[in-house]
Amino acid sequence: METILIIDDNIETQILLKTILKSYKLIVAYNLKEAETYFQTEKIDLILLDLYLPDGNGLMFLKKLCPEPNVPKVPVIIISSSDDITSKVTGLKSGADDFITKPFAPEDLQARIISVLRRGPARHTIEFLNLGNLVLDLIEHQAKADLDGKLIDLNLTPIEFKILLNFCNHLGHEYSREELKQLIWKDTYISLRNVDTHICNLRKKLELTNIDIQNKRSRGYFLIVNTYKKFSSAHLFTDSFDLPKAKQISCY
Amino acid sequence: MRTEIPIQKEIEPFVSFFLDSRAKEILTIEQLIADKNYSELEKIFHNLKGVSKSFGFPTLGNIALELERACVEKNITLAISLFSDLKSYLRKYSH
Repeated sequence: METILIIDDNIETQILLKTILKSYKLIVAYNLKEAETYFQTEKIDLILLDLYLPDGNGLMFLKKLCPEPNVPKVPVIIISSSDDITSKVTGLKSGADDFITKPFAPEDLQARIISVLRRGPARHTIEFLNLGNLVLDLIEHQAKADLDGKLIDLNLTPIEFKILLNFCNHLGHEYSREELKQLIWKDTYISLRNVDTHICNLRKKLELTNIDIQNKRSRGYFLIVNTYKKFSSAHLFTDSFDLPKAKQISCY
Repeated sequence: MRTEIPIQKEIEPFVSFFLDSRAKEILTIEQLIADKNYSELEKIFHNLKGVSKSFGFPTLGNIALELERACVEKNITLAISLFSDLKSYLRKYSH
């Protein structure tokens, strides 16, 4: 049986919810302080949250609930007497999974609870990763150069994207060719020279960014952000770049 | 217990509790109107707006909605007039 934490100080709402949601284990918190205690001590599958509570706004609790990116979050349905679009949008943007306006039809509430529980704990995924003027779209698996706000697709192959993402996620780490081979291709056979070829191609495609892949003899490849390398969309129409001497920045 | 519209069977036993709570609330509201405590009045009417229909009293919910708006606008004349409507409505259903 799933456990639902109801956070609402209104006694009539509590009566309604207890009557409608008999098939769930219900825990009732009258305020945010109580809710936090229950949240830490009980295993909660879903939260029904009112916005106006005696010790603060429900959105404050919602923000505390939103964990680190990619960590599962307990689903939240806001139940509020506020029916204006601003409250709904703010609630959903703050991390709520659904928003129900009071008065609600029991069947509507039940259906929405089933729907949210079926989806399971949500994850706050990171959609973009920025490094210098490089923008990695982690959903579409695309790398783009930000030139004065204009995003130019670098047309990376899936393997090149994977290599670049790995570099970005472990800034400062020096990867030997063997290490890269194992990380990216795993058990698929590929020669070390082929790894070099992929890196070489990737370097060329990164020319519109201030990201460079460099290598140290006998140590490996590593990523640097070259802050002296500035680009604008005007570079799109030139064949070669006349750049000031690069200053290498440690990327730890 | 008589309601304005039919309600869920499981809610029926709680209707008298709902009406009793409103009767007690009347005194609080009168004091808050006298004090022109709009924020507290707003909270009361906001809650009432949300639950009245589920207990079988949609008109009460509508009056509460208008009262909430009157309190947001700090329109005491309108609030007093609407509060009078609210009391008349509740008298019809009091046991």
